[in-house]
Amino acid sequence: MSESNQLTRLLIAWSAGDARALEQLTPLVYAELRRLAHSYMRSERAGHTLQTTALVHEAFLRLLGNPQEQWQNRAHFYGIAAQMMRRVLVDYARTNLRAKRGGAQVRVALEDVGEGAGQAVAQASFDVEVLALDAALAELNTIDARRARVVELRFFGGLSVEETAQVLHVAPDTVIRDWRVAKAWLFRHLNQ
Amino acid sequence: MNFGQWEKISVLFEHALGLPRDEQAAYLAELARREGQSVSDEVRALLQADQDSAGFLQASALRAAAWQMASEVEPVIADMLYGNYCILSKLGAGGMGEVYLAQDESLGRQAALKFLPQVFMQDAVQLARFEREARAASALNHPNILTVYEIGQAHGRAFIATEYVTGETLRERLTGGKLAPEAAARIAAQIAEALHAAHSAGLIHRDLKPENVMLRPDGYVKLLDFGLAKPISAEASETRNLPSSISHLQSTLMGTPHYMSPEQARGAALDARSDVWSLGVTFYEMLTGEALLKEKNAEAALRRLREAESLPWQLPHEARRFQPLLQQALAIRSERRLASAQEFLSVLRRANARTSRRHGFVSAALLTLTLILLAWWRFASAPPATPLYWDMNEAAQTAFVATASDGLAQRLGANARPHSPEQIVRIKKYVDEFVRRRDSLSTTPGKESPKAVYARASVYAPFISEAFRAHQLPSVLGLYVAVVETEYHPCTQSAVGAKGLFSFMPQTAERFGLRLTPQDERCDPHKIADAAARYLIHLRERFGADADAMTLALVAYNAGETYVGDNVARLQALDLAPLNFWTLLEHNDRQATPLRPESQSYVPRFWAAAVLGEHPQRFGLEIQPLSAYVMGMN
Repeated sequence: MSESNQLTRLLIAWSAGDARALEQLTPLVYAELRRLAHSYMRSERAGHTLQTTALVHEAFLRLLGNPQEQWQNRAHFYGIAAQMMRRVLVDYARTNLRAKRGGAQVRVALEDVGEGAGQAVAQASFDVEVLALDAALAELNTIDARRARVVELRFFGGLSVEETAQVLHVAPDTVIRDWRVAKAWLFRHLNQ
Repeated sequence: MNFGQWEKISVLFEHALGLPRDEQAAYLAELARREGQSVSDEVRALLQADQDSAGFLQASALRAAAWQMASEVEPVIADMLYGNYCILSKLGAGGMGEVYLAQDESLGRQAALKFLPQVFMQDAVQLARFEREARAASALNHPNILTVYEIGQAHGRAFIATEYVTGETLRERLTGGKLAPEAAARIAAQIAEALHAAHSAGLIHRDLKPENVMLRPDGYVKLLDFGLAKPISAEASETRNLPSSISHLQSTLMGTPHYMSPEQARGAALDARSDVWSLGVTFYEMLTGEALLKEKNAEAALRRLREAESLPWQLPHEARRFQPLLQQALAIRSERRLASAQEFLSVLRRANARTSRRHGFVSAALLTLTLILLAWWRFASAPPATPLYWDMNEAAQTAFVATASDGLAQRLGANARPHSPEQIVRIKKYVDEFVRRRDSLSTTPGKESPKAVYARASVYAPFISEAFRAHQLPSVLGLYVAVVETEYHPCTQSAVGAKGLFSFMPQTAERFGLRLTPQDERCDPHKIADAAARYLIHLRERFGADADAMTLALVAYNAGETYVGDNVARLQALDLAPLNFWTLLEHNDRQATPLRPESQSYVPRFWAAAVLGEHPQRFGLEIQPLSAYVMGMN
């Protein structure tokens, strides 16, 4: 079985409720992300922008193979992939934070700081923020599941507006409005 | 907030978002009436959050995580040995890796260790770049360039060990806003010195920016990060052999666009003038507190540099005197730009000298300013058409050396006597020796052109003068002993460690309060200047304070006080007078242990050095007389 087939099998198992499948998935995803991140770092010196879309798509493609071939539909695939990424990244942040022995950085907003000094800030606070965001998102989910899902797909899954619209079977305009409302709610919640 | 409340508020909020900005206040007021104040407040807070959260969640988590993973490093472990270095603490993370404070266990000195990030260890290009930085910088030996000790690899990590410098970067200093023009000029002058040394060694820095300039608390400036430095010749040939698109891509990826020269932005071949541009941009930022290129975006900045015919800029009133300098440094076309860091330096000095005069006239009552005025008077009272030394005939040269030498003797102490013709011949011999080096391109200490020596000397002159004046010693003493001892190479190494500006042996250093460990303080020009002054006071106490006795103190500085003391006692026993160096020299063959040749030439060389340094215009040196440089005004 090829690597991506194995990953696909694990992902399907996990989406069907097999919790242990995620444990097996996580290190494979880490390894792939690291490899990708390093290859991007090499080609783009510190301070330059990582091409998010390309990174995400390449990661998914390599990890999970061509979605059309193995999944009932693209939308389902992306939905599950975004959920998995959320779990993996939150887990990664939690592990990092523990390793930093307390790492009590004060949080700032998860902004797209782009270049220069801001980048360092973004990295330093990444772990804290991802955990805070994950918790806030869980809270939003209890009162507004649809908008929470939009955030999961866009932020953790790296999906575009159109892709998010496909997964949720809604119009792109709805995604744009939901995204804006959810962002304002989360921003307020995290800065309160 | 529960499900129902949010359902209602989210609808109201979404409606408010759809309204024009100027109608939102009315809507919120209406909400307060209709739904209650708390609902209205909640919607208002969300509208505010919407405005504030423009960049929030803009980058995907995946991207942030990828960044984080890519910059992960295996932590360098404290107490572990890397080569001879034991890691003490982390100093920070630079553009290309983490920096640690370490102790060299074999030499007992502290060092900064910069580690290449692990992600680059497998990357031949980055590894080569890292090694190039070390090699480039270690080829340079200059007080304004961070000294590289060595490059090493241990535990799978590559590192560069450099001298450990405390202080802040120019970037950090600039967060406090613009600098006083005098402070900015002092920093720019030292950067220019560093660049000049690099250029003379055939290297272009290529990445000069405030982040790469370290400011020590004592006012000393260190240029860092020769990561992009390349030999001038390699640069040229490399660019020739590459299609322009590739070399352009390299420049784009490797430099910081805001300080790049226009030719660098275009990917053209570079020479020293490219660094002159970057120095101009940096100086401009120090004087104004603002970046020359305001573009936030790197691409936009690059485009502007490539395309602009001219870049508008303006200096604040107090810095107007640097207008001509910056016009010449920031010429878009490199052929119209100042051709070298040294030219930058002389124009900078001239601009500064002009204000010194102005200030002197305005408030001549102040002591320091009076000194400047006097210095200026000496400087400016020389007729502008003074013939250069080498354009004069032998008789005129001799007369000039005699006048200059006698003048100098009067500055050393009371009862100065005129020099005899034989003495002038001895002094002139060393003046001529300097002159013979005038077109030298060598960077070897002792073989450089006087231009290089005295340009360097003018950087140190202010605080040497101050140190000597603080001890009530004539400043010329310190200014020219340093020429004779090291020609202003502040950190050359000898068999007994660093020599420092004043060539201290370890025993002398320790006797006058310099520590040799953990850092050799002889390399600290400020500390050794003070120690040299104290050493000379000690010698003056032994031999006396008039002009004659000062020549004995000088030769004792070189030959040792006991030795010279014995020789002086012999003169006294033979009833020979006057008691000075020249008498000692004249009767050298009557001594039990005569002066060695080096000591015989020491005082004449000191005089020759001072003749040049106090009459620079006669020797084509683009400096003021060294004794005219005053702390805060150079």
